[in-house]
Amino acid sequence: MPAPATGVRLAAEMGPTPDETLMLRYRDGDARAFEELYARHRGGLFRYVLRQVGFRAAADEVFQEVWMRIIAARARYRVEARFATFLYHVAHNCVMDHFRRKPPLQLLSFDDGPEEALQVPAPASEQPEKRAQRSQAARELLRALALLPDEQRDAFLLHEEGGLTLEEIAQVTGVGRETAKSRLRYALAKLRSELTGSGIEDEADVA
Amino acid sequence: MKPTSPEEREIEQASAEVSARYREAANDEPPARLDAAILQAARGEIARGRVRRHWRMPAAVAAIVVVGVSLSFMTKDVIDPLPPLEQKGGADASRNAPAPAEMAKPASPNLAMKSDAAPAARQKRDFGARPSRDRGDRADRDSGAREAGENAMADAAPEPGAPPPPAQVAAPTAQAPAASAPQAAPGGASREEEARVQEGAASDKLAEKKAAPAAQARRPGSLTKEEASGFVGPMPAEPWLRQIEALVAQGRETQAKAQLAEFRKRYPGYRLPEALRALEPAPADAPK
Repeated sequence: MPAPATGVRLAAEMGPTPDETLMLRYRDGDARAFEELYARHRGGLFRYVLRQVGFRAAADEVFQEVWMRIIAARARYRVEARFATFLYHVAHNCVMDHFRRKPPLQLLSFDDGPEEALQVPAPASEQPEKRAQRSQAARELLRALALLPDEQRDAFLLHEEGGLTLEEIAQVTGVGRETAKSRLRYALAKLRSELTGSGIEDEADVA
Repeated sequence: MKPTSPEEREIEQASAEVSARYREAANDEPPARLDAAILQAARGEIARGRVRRHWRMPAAVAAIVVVGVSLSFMTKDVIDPLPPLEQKGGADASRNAPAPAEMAKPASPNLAMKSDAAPAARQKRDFGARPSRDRGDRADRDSGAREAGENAMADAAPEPGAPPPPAQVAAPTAQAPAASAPQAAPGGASREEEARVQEGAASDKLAEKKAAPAAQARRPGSLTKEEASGFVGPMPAEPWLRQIEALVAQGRETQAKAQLAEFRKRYPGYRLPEALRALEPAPADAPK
């Protein structure tokens, strides 16, 4: 399955997307349309949920709940926005519901936690050295991502995994465009500074 | 999102760098069992939708049929076309059945007066609304003991000008109520009848013809000419006509004409057989 392009660029270049058409066809009883739609969004949505909730078991549960809601909304689906906006709006709400039921772990330790929490699978065919390097880089980036404030991480993941524009991020999260832009900008700045080795700044003032 | 400001251009550049590294790190996929479960649920939802749609049409048709049949029955009761005369006669015949003495006999003078007036009023209402066999049907449906008694009292008494009797035999108990209703004077009944005749409704005439005999005072034990010959109350049309035909066959044309005149009074619109039309007195009275 091809990985989705960068959200901002995707939104700018895609133009009219057939996702909505597929969903309409599914509404009218075409199961294959849903399969195609699911294949397009399963990876990005799963990663969005996984990075938000932190553990695979919980991510599985929330991910399934998102799709069940989409399926249940089939009969009354109307094209009022991009399908991705609709999908990630549902996912955002499911994640919020999950956190209401189970408060998120704060400052999850990737060094001391279980290996499962890292969620960095590597192909078995890779050499052990490459796998170790890849795993280390992933740990650093994902650790930086996990340490972001919830709102910034949410904005980054919506942008990165869902391909949502600033307006769509604002719509999904229920804030203004400027607020969404600010959150995304801070998230990117912190992640980039982590990548360049400058460390992660204190993010308490950026929420 | 096209960068339109230095701030957005900065976001775009930062996004490109971070995105590339993030893609290397994050390549998680949902497990296959989740894929299968979700796709199965999606297909199941479509199947359920089809089942729901398949149920809708037969259920809608069944509901329409049930409502339509119910409405047709209800409408049939309310707007009944003119009935076949055999049924009308049958209804009358059923009302001619002798009533039990305890039902026919009024318990008090008030009841007797009520029994005289109520059937007439009820018949007026019924005839005015539905000049049809509904009269008989309605009488059958009103199965309360009081109304049954009233009907019996109204119907069991013979009419003043009732035609000669058929083979029917009047039970003595049927004559008792009429004899025990001396409160209503014949003159009063006739005045009432005249007033109603002025209203011009033929159906009212029929109602009063049924009410008047019941109000007519008679000495106990006295019999009219018709009663003496065994005939009481209205007679079904078909047997009546057969009897008239028998009179004609016997050469008793005068009696046959008299019977036919009485018949015509009771059944004004009835279509006579060919053999009896010649006995009709005037073309104006010819059967429709």
